[in-house]
Amino acid sequence: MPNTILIVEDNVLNMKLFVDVLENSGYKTVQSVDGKNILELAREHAPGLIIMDIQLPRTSGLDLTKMLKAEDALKDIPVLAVTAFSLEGGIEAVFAAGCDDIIAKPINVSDFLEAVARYS
Amino acid sequence: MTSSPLSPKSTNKLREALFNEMADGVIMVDTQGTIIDCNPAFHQKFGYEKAELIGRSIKTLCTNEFAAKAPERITQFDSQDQITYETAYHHKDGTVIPVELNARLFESAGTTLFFSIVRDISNRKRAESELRQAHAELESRVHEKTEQHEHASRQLRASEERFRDIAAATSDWFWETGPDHKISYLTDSYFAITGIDPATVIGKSRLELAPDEDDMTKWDAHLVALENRHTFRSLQYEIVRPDGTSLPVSISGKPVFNDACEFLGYRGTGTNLTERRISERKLIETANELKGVLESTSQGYWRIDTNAITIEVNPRMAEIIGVSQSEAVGTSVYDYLSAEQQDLHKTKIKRRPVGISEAYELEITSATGNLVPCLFNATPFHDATGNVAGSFALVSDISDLKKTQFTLEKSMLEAKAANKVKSDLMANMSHELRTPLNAIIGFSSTIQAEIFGPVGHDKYREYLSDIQYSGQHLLELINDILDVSAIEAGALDLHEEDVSLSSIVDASVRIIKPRADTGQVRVVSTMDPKLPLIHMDERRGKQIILNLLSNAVKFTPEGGDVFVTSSLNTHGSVSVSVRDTGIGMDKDELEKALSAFGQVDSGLNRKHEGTGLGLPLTKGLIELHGGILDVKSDKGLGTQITVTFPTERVVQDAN
Repeated sequence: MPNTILIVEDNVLNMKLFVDVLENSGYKTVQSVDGKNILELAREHAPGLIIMDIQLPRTSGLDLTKMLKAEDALKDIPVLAVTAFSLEGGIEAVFAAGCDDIIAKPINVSDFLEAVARYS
Repeated sequence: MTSSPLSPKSTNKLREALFNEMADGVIMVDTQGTIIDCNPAFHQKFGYEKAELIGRSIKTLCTNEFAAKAPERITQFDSQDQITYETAYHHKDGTVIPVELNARLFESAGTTLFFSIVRDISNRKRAESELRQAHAELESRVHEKTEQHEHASRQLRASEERFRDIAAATSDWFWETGPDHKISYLTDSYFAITGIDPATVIGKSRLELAPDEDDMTKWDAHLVALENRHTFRSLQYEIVRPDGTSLPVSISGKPVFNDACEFLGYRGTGTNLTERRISERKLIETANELKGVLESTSQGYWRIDTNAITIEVNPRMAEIIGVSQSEAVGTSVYDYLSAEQQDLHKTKIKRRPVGISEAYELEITSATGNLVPCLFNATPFHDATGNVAGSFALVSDISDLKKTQFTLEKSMLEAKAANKVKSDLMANMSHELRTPLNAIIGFSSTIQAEIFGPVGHDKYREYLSDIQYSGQHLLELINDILDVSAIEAGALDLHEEDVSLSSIVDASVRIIKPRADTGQVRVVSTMDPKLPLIHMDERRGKQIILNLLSNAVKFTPEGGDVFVTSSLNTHGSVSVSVRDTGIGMDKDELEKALSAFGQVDSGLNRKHEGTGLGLPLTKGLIELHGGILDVKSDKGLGTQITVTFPTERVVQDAN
């Protein structure tokens, strides 16, 4: 059974890129454009990894990660933050929120796949 | 013996009657001292019966003292037929009665007898003794008086000396005038001080010494005072010297009377006023000068007493409070202050009596209702006895200053707001720019990686590489713009930890190496292995070093060198220098390179691709660490850029 990856990404093209690259590599993907229903999706699909865009229009990726990490059934799912290094609070804030790793935007496909492979 | 007209019998009777009735005692003694006879006055006087005394030695009556003298007295009869002397006899009851004895010697029936009249002189003795006592008392009183007198004169001398000392200290000479008010005496100091020969002055009245044109009302008053024998003080006039020059003096005097209250003249002191006049003149000049300054200055001058009542204002101050100078006098400071400003002033004025000067702002409400913001510079002033008598303030109208300040504050707020808008816009924009760029770079890298199958033509592969390169470049630009904006807006936060500069340099050299190799530029790093750790933002540090290296490699032609060195400076700061043998810059180019987007405008741009933000960004980042960036560049020879981290960022070795 292929590993499932939950992707939270508001930009349609970036989402398409992630989905295409990951599915081509044999992963199954579940998508959320704003993270609104992320807890339900995570409970339902029990993903092996969550790819989290940090700069989201409504609830930030950091807050979504905190919500995930606050729930016992979900806190062990690794979260891979995808962000440009231009955040207020910097990398520390990303790790402080509970993200397990970080990958810089824009992504280099090879580096991206390598990082995903470490957690799946 | 002369013959008597009386018969012997009647003579005997008379003698007996005399003998018995005499008030004085009479006693007859033979040469042995044995009492032959005595009259009643005698034995009664001494408390005896006559029978008790007859046949008894007179010596038993005599006091021892006088008994001893008896033989000596007897010899006196050799030359005199009677002697008178004082002696004392014991009364029968033992008391001693002083007596005067008149003794004479006579022959009777061939026997020598002493016949003595004895008079009681107790009263006389008592009187004598009283007299002596009175005399002694008188003497002792005279002595006492003399002592008192001497003490008084000693004191007088001391007080005279004291007076002289005081007079000498407060005056220059002494003088005396006679009843006619002509000068009769002058001390020697008169000549020394005035240069006038006393001989030319003695015998003259003071008025004669004064100039002819002198103010007569002053002299009239003085002469009236003299006529009334009044003490006068500080009569000031000018003595005209023989050479015509004059000398200002001050004279004080006191009338002198003798014991009979007769007026003898005056006596007093004189003082040369020349020096005092000079200092007075200087004082007046200074005061005039000050007055001139106060009249003409653009600052207000406001002098008030301790109750905040106006004593004086200068024209400018009067103008500020909107009244005339004379109208201002007597008005309260509070007439020109709102209730709120009054409270402020009251807290300030409290500090004056303790001697505090200070500057503060008050808004004056002028008599015409204008509100004038003013800067007060207040200082306490003291009266002659050193007590605080009030305060004066130099007052500046700061309306213009306030206006400027307001404008400045407003434009600063506007600028801040504008900056906030700008940095928000930048942050937003960079996110918006980066998002499509993610897609461009992401998809092109997917094609490059030929994930979904091979790319058909080599030209496509080349174009993909171009897209990738341009995308990366655009990304760098966006990142730099964002950083520069953040620094300018003060919005860039440092995430500090203790970092090894050497490892930052090593990592940066590794990153730049491929690019340097491509350009055939040699990068040589010789970092001090003992360099202490620096408390800094590691990522920003890497950005600094990488920027310097990237610039150096970029502007160094093939075969050139880039040297990276470090140094621990004498004051404990730490520097890293990146030196290249590149094209270098002249002064204008250097200035341009240090300003944001400087390079973008330069002709170098096409040859040396870059954001043009590298150097300003690097400078901003090191300055954010409290450090400095120093550039030395020679056109055609190369550039050396040194960044220095300040001492306080250098981590002290635990050893």
